Amino acid sequence: MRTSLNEIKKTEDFLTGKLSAPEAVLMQARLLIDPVLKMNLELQRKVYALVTLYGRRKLKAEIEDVHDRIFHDPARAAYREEIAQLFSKP
Amino acid sequence: MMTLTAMEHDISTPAAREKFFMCLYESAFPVVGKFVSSRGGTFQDAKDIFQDALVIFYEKTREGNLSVEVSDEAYVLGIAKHLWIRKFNHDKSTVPLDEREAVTLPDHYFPTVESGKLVSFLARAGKRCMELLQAFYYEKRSADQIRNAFGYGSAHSATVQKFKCLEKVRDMVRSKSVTYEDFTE
Repeated sequence: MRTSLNEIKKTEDFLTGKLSAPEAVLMQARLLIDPVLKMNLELQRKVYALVTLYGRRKLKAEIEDVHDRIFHDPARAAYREEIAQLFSKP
Repeated sequence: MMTLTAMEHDISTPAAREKFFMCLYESAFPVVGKFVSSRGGTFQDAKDIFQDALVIFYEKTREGNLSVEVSDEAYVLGIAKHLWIRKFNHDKSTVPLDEREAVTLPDHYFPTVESGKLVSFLARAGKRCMELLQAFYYEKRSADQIRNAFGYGSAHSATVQKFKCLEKVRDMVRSKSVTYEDFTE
């Protein structure tokens, strides 16, 4: 892999605790003196969080499809009635 | 009514997840709906809370973090109660929680407006990479599974592409960031 990709892999290994102890100490030292490396690490951390949000959005879309099917399935009329009863005003 | 035990969950494919969510809708949504209704919530509140609870339940299942001693319904209800407390800033002491419902919600589960906009931007401008990255990091599929699904020649190629995508998306996020301080919180 080219150098920039190896740096990304090393950053990932650092963030996930996969570096050896000496490698981790070296990385911490580099982060103290290299603001670009530090910024890239924070950006990479942000990317993982955004990928999680993206994954959750996709999963929510799958769940919404299930919701639509259940609430439009003629065979599940009794189920829908049970749910509707919960929210009917006395 | 079908029920699933924690040991039997298959969530590896969209079809398997559909069955998984269908079962939970049948068994757990009425329980969550009853809870939300009893707290004065609406059907829409119950739906939102329940769907978020399913997402978190899926993530815990995927991580292997489920207790086999608690039924799925009880677990989902526990998550829903915690979500209800967090989402509507309710006082924890006013919502009865038993020890089976001592679940931990993911940090920062509800995204900031800024993160939500960034994800929408990336979904449009970097869809292929976001699909690949979520397969690796969210679904936690193996490099071999991803090689097959995305048509790479080898697992190594898929892994190299993962790092290329991380670089690409990182640079897209940087281009969208206003200041360096946005990422140093």
